[in-house]
Amino acid sequence: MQKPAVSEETIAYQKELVSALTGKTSIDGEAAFLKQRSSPDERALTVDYLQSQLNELGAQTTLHTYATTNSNLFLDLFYAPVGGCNVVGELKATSKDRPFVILGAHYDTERGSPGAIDNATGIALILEVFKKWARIKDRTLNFKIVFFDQEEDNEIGSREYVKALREKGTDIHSVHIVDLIGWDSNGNRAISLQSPSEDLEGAYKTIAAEFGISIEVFGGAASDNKPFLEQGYETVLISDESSDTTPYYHSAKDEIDTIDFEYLALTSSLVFETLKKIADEQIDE
Amino acid sequence: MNKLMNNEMLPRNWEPYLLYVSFLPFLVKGISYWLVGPPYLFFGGIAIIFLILYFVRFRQSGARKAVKWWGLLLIAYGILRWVMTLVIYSVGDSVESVIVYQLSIGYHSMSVVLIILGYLVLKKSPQICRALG
Repeated sequence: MQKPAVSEETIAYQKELVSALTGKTSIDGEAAFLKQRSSPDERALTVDYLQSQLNELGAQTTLHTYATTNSNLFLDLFYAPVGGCNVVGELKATSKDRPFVILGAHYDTERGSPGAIDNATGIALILEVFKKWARIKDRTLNFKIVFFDQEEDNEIGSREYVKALREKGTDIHSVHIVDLIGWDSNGNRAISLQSPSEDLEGAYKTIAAEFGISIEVFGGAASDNKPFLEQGYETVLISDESSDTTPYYHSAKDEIDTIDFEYLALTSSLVFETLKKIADEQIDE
Repeated sequence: MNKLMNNEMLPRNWEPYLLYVSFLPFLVKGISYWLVGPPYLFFGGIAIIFLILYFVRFRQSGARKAVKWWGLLLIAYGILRWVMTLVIYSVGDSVESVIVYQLSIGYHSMSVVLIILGYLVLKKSPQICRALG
């Protein structure tokens, strides 16, 4: 496979998404412009927007609302339970019952940050992958997209989602989390994988080699991959290189004009092709 | 407030209701946490409420002290909520958003209500004990 040319259509689509999510354009098509995605009102607007985007792509959309305790009993004594909402979109396989592949990214931001790279880019990547996936006639995997709430508050949204998954006993093939994927100042197009399972590392490295992209692998858990790893799911966090990441992390300068959209579009293709490879392997099994 | 304190606008024996109303915020908090998982705040609150009611109904010697302590506890809790707010604003960005966005007008109003309730319970402890004892 040759390194794919980045599609202008993809770049335009992802720019449109990030613009709405970072307040460059209206999020509701009317008068609401987001400065951040941190307060309950801003997060509610974001939920509506993400839900409408998923519906447009033909996904079966549900909202996973939750309420839970604060991080310790002392806080519980003074404050109300924590509430939030994960946005879930499903695209069923066209063949017989298959396990789910989950593709996830958080939509909330740190207070005072527009959250362009952290993590409107993750959302834009996932929606582009989903868009391409929906066009496939014979889908051999069930596909689930989850936009997590409250990652910036100790991954509350994904923790609650993992709890719900375990209670339902959903058959999960693997979990792919995307966070911070728009900065590439050295132009090498490299990405990093955090704590990938052996199979996922192999799949991503195979496609990356075909794309001529290098991959950095390291351990730990720094995002919504944490609760999934803790529960033993096959998980990977896809991110930009640890040595070449946004200097505007969690700041007011994390804006749309700092994003390398070609890099984002290329990484979107890489993730899509990797998922296709995983799906093809399912047929072989 | 003076009229209220002088009982001019209130029926006779209204003071016990002050005590019952002061239990409500804690019952609501306990139930809201029980609904999302842990019941410890509910049972902790119930234990304290039963203890106070037990003293008021069956231990005349300790009744007034128990009600006074409850009043003081309400005042301290209300003030501590404000202290926590000051701490949160002084610590700044490192505080979780889930906490920061709870510091609304509703939260501060509840702190005021708790302090007023505590003051009234403290002030009216003899009447409360007399009415319930």
